Amino acid sequence: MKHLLKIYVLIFLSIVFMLVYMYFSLEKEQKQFDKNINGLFVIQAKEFSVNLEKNLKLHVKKDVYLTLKKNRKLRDRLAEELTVLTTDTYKYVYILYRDSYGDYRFLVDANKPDKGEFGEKLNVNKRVWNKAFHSQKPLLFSQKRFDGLWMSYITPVVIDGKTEAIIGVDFSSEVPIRIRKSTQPLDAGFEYIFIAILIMLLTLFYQTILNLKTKKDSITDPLTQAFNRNYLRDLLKKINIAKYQIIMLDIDHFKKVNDSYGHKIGDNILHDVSAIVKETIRSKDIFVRFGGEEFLVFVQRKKLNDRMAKDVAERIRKKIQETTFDYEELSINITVSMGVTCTPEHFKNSSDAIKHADEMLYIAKKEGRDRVICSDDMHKEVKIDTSLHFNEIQEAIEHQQVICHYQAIFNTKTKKVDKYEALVRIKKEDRIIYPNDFIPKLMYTNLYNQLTKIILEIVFTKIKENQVKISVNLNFSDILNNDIFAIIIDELEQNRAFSSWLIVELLEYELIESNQIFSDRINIIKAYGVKIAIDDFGTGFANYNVFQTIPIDIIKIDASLIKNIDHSEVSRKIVHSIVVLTKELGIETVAEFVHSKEVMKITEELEVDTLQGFYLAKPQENLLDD
Amino acid sequence: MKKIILLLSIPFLLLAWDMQYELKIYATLLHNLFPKKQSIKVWSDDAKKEDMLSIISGVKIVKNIKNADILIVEKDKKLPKKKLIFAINYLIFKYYEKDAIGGFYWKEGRPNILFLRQNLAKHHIKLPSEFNEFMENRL
Repeated sequence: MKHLLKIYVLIFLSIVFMLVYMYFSLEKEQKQFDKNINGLFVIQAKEFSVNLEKNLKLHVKKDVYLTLKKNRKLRDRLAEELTVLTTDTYKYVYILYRDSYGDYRFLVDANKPDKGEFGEKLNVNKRVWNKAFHSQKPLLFSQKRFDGLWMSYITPVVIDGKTEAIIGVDFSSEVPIRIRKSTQPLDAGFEYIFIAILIMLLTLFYQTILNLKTKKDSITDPLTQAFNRNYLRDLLKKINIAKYQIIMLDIDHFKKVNDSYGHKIGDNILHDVSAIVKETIRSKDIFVRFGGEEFLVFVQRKKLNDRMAKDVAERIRKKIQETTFDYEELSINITVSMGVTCTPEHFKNSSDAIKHADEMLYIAKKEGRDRVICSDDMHKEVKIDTSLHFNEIQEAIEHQQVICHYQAIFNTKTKKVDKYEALVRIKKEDRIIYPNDFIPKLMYTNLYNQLTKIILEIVFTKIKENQVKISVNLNFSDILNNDIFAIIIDELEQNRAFSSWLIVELLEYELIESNQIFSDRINIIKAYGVKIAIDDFGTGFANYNVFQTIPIDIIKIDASLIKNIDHSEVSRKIVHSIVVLTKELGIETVAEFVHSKEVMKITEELEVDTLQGFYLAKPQENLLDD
Repeated sequence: MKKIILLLSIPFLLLAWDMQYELKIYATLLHNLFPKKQSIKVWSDDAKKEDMLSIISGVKIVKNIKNADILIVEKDKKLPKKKLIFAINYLIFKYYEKDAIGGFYWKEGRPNILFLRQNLAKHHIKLPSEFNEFMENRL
């Protein structure tokens, strides 16, 4: 494409060059032709002048002015002689003298209809006439008059070394004029072509400026004037990440700012924080708005082992911490947290290096915010090889490509759907991406919190629409995480009327042991009417202490016990014991992984309350009742 | 589009300007002679000049010499000498040399413009400095 453009430019320049060359060649030829034609007339004019001079000198020996002034007859006679020479070509033949004021006045004129009187001033080109007067040499010059192009041949009449008069012969031939006229359309054609080229070039120039402006707008965030994600996408394709260190910056409690002071103030904060960052970094560093209140700075490094980004990040943090943001009557102090990837070259690709910066940011937030975490010795050789990069996951979240599939759980006695389990997916075009391909990459990043919020929103929308019980999976660490817990409570508050339809299914509960904060938070959640389920019960570190620490409503018997229940007597007995115990405790049981008719039959015989598995229903986008 | 049309029409405008040269000279002259007058009343004994001068904005052709601010003269030798006289022929200019403020006529294909200092002074006329090159003490 670029080569094609070069060829077009080359062709265009060649055409322009050829036209310019032709134009100037034509001009040169025309001038030469004019000169040749005029040459013929000049020879004639010269001969006239020489003869006139001789004739004048024959009649007047000295003081031409006085002699002719006194002798009217001589003047008339000379005029008659001049008249003989005048033709359509040699239209004006006259003799002038120069008065004491330097003006040129008539001595003799051959022009009959409008004859110049003796002593009458003639408006001549004094510069040229004076030159002939003083040099005492004949001169030929052209002049453009109102009735065409004229040549004048002027001959000084010198007597006793003094210029007594000047003979003027004005002639104009129609031939060069006709030739000029005949080539005028060609000249005009050239002129219009040049004007068209000029207009084209100006339009191109204007277009180029517009394109540059549009391109700049398309890669710039209008609020902060930082580069946007479009730019980041292209940048990551071509950047040599080893030459940079990466800072990921997040404004602390920005949501609170927005909620407390409104979005206008929030926008002002974003704008002013960006201005501080831009002031602090160098022009060769790259500043990108990553999304919301998150920014990326690519700091160009001098040496491979320097910690420049960490220093830059510290400077930014201090400046923002020391700045009071004044808006109308408000004075707001804010802080920022930053994660830094000091050694991006240790990562598989740029996206993973950014993700690492996000992980560091997560730690900075977790450790109390308003700090910079640079863990170049904590860098990870990223081994996760999934189908989605971190950026793509972020884009998917921002572009609402997160969806839930729902797997029905059936009541053993009624055979009807009792509830559903919500399972998160990313839907990219027609491709469905499963949680294993993106959740691990999000762990310990702020994006994980965002995802949790989105899932809860989706599930509550489904509950509102269908009034069915739906369970969502959460890690115990989610409950302990202040931000995620706040998100959960926020969603429960907003959907208080429907919260009793929600089931929180806890994963990795076995790691909890005794944790007062966790218990308190679970009780807060339960206070909204939410049911608590624990997943994968019966294997691993399962111990019965969990019944004492967590107010459980439902247990899901681990799939490894269920899937072989038709062949393993041990599995059958363990499940039986779990069912007996939970019935005593008033806890509902769910058998997962019901994959065949035999398994279903046995779990029914063991009086498991509800059944879930591919044999009964696969996870799907719509509810079975939909 | 308007700009392109304007650009393409420049050569024609220049040509038209050339043709209007004489008219422009008279317009400049009359407006400088009577800078404060809204309507300049002109009398001429030459019908062609009358036609041409009538085109100039702010110029009104009058038939009665008494009403005229300036007389543009081709041949009439019986004009009241108190009036401003401007000659359009050398011989008539010569005739009114003591009264005419100036003259404009063609000679050998060249436009000749002349103003006589004393006569301008008689009528308390002061022309702008652009006219200095046409000022003469005698014809």
